[in-house]
Amino acid sequence: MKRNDSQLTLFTFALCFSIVAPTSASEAAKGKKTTQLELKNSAYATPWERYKGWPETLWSEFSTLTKMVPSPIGKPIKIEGAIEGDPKKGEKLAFDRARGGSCLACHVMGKPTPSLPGNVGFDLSTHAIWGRSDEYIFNYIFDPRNTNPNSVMPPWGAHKLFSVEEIKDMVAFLKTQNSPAEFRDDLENPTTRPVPKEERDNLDPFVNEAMAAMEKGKVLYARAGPRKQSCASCHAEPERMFKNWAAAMPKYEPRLRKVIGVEEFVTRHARATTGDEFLLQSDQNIALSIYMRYLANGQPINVDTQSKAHKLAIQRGTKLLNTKIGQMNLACVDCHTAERGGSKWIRGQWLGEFRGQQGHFPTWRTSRTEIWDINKRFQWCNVSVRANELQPGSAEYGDLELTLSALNKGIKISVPGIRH
Amino acid sequence: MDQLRRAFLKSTGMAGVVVVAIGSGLLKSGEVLAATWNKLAFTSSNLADAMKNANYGGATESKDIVITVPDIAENGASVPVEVTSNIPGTTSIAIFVEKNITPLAADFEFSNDAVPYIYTFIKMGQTSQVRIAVRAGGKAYTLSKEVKVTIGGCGG
Repeated sequence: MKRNDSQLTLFTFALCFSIVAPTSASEAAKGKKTTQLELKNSAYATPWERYKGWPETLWSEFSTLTKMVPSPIGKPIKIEGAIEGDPKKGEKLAFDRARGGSCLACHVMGKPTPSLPGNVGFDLSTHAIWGRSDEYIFNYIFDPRNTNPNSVMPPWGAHKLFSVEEIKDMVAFLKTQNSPAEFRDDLENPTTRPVPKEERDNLDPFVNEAMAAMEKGKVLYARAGPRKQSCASCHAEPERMFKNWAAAMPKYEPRLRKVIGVEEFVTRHARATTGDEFLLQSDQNIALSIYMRYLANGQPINVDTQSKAHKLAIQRGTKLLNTKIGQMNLACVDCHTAERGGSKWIRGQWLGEFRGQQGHFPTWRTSRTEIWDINKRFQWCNVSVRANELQPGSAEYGDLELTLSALNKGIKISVPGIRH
Repeated sequence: MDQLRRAFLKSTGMAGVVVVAIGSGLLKSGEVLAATWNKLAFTSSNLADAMKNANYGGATESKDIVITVPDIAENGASVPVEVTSNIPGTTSIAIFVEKNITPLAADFEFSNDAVPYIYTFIKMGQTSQVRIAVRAGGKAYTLSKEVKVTIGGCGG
């Protein structure tokens, strides 16, 4: 059991609570001076458009984090006798990265074994001698939920990722897998591949390009906006004033009836004060958000988990972590908890667990050479499982950010981070 | 260690090191100080030719070259490479990627007494040996290490 205590608490906690009406906005400011926030306009550029270079497909017939679409379990298909498929075609389909990263993302298979396979699922290199019937294999691929309700494998047939004929070819290919995989070295074998340790110095500008954005944020902080005022006009000595601020973010904002993180706070507070327009996902917003969190570096994540509004938000967020979405029919927990796909390899990439996934955003992604804030990270997870992403700053992402921060409570902030 | 390196970089500001980083895309040939663009070496399409044309032909294996590269690189477009040469009198360090279309990635020259240390990012087309070559006292030395360029799981 690798699962940590706070995670356990959250899961248990989610089971115990019943639905309670949302907190009323009147709880807002109790005699305290209310923070100035612009509340009416969109915090992101409208209409929302997916980032350039991302997949353009819309998966509107499948669930998202806001919209549940029923996903009926595919009816088992009766198959008499042996399947006559083409194993060559089946191999090509199994290795095809155009439809969900290929079988190799999760399974060892193929002769010779292709480079850096994953181990979320079983090693299938000896599958042919397991004694499964063709009908069993076919239906397991078509929709595993018929046979194994706990499987995290996508329903490849029922969700129309592969046709009946294509799955028959894959069955034919699996029937050729009759000897243990041979790996060139320990790195190739996902069971012996060393767990990656993040040891890069993320605050070294030679290592982390996002440090330049931090410097830019520092400049923006002191630069006068359209109303001739800068952040520094009201908040002198940022190092002292904001030493702990970002560690307690995100927070529920009653006037917006949702949880907002540093990013949306920057957008709305700047509009209400300096008059600057720092839209979510703009370079300026990311720069300032990095700077605000940089000021809290070394402080343990300390989000409020006790107030009524936050308990409810974490309850909603925990439900979202368990919600299956997209054509791939995956929930956060399917890839990021150890009892499922977490702490395993998805092809050459390590799937981390929830603990360790906060406190470094916005982060420099070496595999993308871009800075991503937590919203963009959530969006990418959505698109990766073939679910339409939500807009940055969505209430659901706010709940998820708070829940993830609660699961990472105590971890010291170190921003900008660096990750693959 | 990292703190030390950071301090070192700050204090020296890389002074004394003539960087010929054309192949790594950092500088255009016109921007390089006195060094000349070795077109023949940078456009050679196999390792042996590239090493010969960059004046590292007949290099002997040396354990005095310390290479720090990731075992698995997360992005072939940006692979960190850190090299220290412990060979006395080192005058240049070059990086070759055996399986790149043009293997020579970068060639750094060091003026007198400059610390023969480099940290840079290179591009790799696929999993390959990263071969370092060093010139010291008129002789060539070499050592290589494999870097696997990873394949993402989530469809890209």
